[in-house]
Amino acid sequence: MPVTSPLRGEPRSQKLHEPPPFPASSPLSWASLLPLTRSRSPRRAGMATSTRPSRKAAKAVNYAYGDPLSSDEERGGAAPASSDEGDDDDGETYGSKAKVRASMARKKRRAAAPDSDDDLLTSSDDWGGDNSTVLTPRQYTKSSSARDDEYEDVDYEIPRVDFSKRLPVETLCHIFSYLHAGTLYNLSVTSRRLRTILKSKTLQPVWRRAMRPYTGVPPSVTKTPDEYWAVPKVGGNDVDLIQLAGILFNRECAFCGKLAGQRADRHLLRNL
Amino acid sequence: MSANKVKLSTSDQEEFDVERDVANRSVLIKNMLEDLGDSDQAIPLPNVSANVLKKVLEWCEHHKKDPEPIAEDLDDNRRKTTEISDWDAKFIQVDQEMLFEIILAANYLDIKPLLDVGCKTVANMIKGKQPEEIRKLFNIVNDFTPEEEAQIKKENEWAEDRVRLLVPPSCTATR
Repeated sequence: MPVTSPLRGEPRSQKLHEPPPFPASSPLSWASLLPLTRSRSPRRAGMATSTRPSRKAAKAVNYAYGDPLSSDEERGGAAPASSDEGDDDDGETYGSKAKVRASMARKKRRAAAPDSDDDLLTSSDDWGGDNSTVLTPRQYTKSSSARDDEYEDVDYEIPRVDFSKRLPVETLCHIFSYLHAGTLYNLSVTSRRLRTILKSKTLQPVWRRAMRPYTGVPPSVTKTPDEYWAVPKVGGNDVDLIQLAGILFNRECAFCGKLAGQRADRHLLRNL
Repeated sequence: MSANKVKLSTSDQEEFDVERDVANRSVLIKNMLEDLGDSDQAIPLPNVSANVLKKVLEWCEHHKKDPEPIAEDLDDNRRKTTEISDWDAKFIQVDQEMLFEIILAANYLDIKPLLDVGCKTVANMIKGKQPEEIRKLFNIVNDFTPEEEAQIKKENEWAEDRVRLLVPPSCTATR
């Protein structure tokens, strides 16, 4: 990872020839900082426009498992495309990988401290410079979300396998034993096959364990394991744990079918 | 053939020479070796293909010095964790096809810790997802008929009516 300066969080490696950054506690006025800001702003804009090729490289690096050829091609294509980045670009000497990392770090920093962009904007207004080279915070967020979408798209290109058809029921049971009751409920409404499996008797212990925090009596009250794992009864019949999970964790509105913002109150049972 | 090497032959007729320590991670192979005694014959593994076995052996190689897994203790009431060690997490970074093949092989070869790693990985993929997200992630087809979907909804409604009856007041949630 490139070292980030305490002042701006900009990767230090990319501005070696610039004066070292002022410490944050420096008594210097903002006015003396402005030239620094100005000299960087066009390059920042340049970086923003050149993110596309490096993103491409990121895709290649992250997703082309076992296919080094294609990723090499991508990287080769990315390097010349980013040469228009500007004069003061030491990043050129880095591989596109480093650049990707740097741009990701910048993105993270942007998300963490959006106010620094505001500083940039107001300072540019102060000296009446051209606003065109300075991206507003809104533009930043827009472009970063667009890039997130790109990631999503790439993500979906991974071959997908329906695990419920591939794995034996014991193994599914094993997998489900790690899951929260709410997730189990969500699984039970994904497909007919999964619903059948989740409703089967084999899966009853999994449900019992998952629903235990919502149905059970505190361990201090119970004496035997049987008592501990007992399912509450209504009129002599055991409660259907899957239905109970449905009430607790179903987030779909029963009337309009929309996804509700929040789940049922987890303390619902206690309150009743 | 030396005593500390074992020959394994896969479904696609490829043969692997592996150290006995490594092969012993698989309870199936271990038992077979004990039954066979010392023999030059390759152990047939008709359910495992060469590329999957290679991956599995890579795991066995790395974990050959691990202590024998302790028998499952009775802490079922505590939620099982889905944490995976760093090496295992990197090892299991494969596509879904391979992941499920590894799980199946671990199941068949009876390598409990590897099976755990695989199952935890799948559990982590599913964790906290909504039905639609799960379908997308694993390419699961929503094959419920409209009637069945209505039925599922109705079950919830039915339960909503009776939620007061369902849970006796003496039963309080633990958390």
